[in-house]
This record gives sequence, structure tokens and C-alpha cells, in this order.
Amino acid sequence: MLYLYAIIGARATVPDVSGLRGAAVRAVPAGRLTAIVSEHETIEVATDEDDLWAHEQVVEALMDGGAVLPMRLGSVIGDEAAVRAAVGEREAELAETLERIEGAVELGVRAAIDPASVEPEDRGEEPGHGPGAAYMHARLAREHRADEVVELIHRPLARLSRESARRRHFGDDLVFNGAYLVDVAAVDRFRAEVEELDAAIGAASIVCTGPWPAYTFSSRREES
Amino acid sequence: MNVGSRRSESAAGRRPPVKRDVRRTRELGEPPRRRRREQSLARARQAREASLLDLIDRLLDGGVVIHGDITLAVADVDLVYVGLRAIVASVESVQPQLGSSLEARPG
Repeated sequence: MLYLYAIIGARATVPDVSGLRGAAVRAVPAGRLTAIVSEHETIEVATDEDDLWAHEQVVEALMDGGAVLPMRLGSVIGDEAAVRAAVGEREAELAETLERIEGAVELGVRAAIDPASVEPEDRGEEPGHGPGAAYMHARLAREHRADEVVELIHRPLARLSRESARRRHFGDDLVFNGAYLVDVAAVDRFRAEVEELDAAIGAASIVCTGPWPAYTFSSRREES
Repeated sequence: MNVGSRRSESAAGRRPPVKRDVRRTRELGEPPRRRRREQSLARARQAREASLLDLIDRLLDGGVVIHGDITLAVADVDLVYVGLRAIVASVESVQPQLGSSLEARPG
């Protein structure tokens, strides 16, 4: 079976990089597109970092040569004919997405909002309202303040980006997790902006990650 | 700008020594009142943790999904997800979130 790393445009060469479990990586032409695969007797992506980075490093190596659509981790398919059929079915859409991300990279921004900075002043129990109402008021006020902090971070960064998305985050409401599709030429400026925001906004600690392949902007699904 | 080669360098540098360095994501929220040295160490750690978390988020939740003959050969995405996040977050900070993490994932 074939493990799929990414889809790229028609290209002659494949970078010298090994894939999952050290397997050789090769190109499978599919119309205007090319799928990058490695062959395995059987493969199931393990729950360790080695497999994650093996997948990631193949995709990153491809970024040298132009736009890359990374596949979701763990994508496997039977053989080359099946690759051509599956990619061919969505050729127009995938080619269009490739064009959309050409010349850009994805940057991640994580911000942890200081809980103390969004804690509302204790107004005590208001007359006529029980502790339940007071709790709800406090919670809404906290969410509202956290949203305001997030806006302060997100708005200027979105302006420096081609596209942006707030990624779903899990659990903690005080963590903002954004993705930005940024022109390669604007990456340094974007990073500088993140540092400035981090210094200027006392209520949050902000970190920029990447550049990543455009994972967030490769899927059809809306992320925001 | 040659993004690709900068990527590989940063990828190598980014790869965190996770097992020896189990930290809480919660520490990201500490108020910024520390000495400069402590602060820069904390920032480096923060960046490492954020990179690993961002990689996990993107690999398991982003990327092209093609239905049909392509299947996802990851043991159990939810378990992988929770397991990997547990590497960077301490057990006590992850566990109260498990319920909402699983609920939040699409079926």
C-alpha cells in the first residue's frame, strides 16, 4: 500500500528525503498534479513523535520547490491507479487550492491569556439575584474580556495575512490558537508584529510558531 | 527567501526533548514578572511546547482529506491526540479537559 504525504504541482524531481520508517519517497503523477508517496507492506501511523516528524519532514522538504498541499496524517491508499483516481476526481479543486497558497506559508500563533487579567471585580451578590446569577454574570464578563484580548491580537495579524483562521482549541478557554497564511516576503514582519503584541499586551503571553506547510488552509472545511 | 532550508534547520532545532522536559502548558499563563534570564528560558520552553502542540493540531486536524479509496491509518485519532497532548501537558492539567476535547472533535 502507499502512504500519502502531500500533493504538489507537476514537478520533475523529488527531494532527497526519507519517509515513514525510513522508506523511500517517490512521485506519482496524477494529471496536472503529483502525489508524493512511500510504499509499505502495511502501515499504521504510531502514537509517537517519530512518525509525526517523519511525515512533517517530507512535506517540509517539498516546500523548497513550490506550493505543497499536505495530506492529513495517516492517509493510505492501495496503489498508483487508486492515487490517480482519487486525486483526479478532485483535480480542479486541489489545483485551485495549490494556487491559493502559492508563495505563502502558514504561521501559528498561540496566546495564553493571564486569568487574573480577565477576572471581573467582585461586585458581591446583587440584591434580588442569587449566587447562580452572580456566577453567570462573572462568567460572561470573563469571556467578554478574553474575547477583547483575542481581538487585540488577531486583528493586526489578520491584516498582515492573506487568510486567517481561528483554530479550534481544546479545553482551556484562555488559550487562543490562530493560523495565518502569510506571504513568504511578509514572514519577518509578521513575527516582529507578534513580538510587539507580546510586549504591548500585558494580559497575554503570545508565541509564533512555524513557518508550517499550509495544513489549515489546505482543507476545504471552514476552520473558524 | 529559501523557506525550505530554513524550515529543515528549524525543524531539527524545534524538535523538543519531550520526555525529559514534561511541562505544563498552563505555565504559559504566568504573569510576566520574572528576571530576564528566567524569562528567556521560559520563552524558549514556551516556543518548543507551542511548536509541538501546533504540529499535533495541524497533522491530526488539518491537511487534505480525500475520501473514497484513501483511509486514515492512525490507530485511533482521538487517543493519539490525547496521548500526544499529554506529553506536553501534565496529567493534572490535561485530565479535566479530556471530556471537552473528545466532545469537540467531529464524529
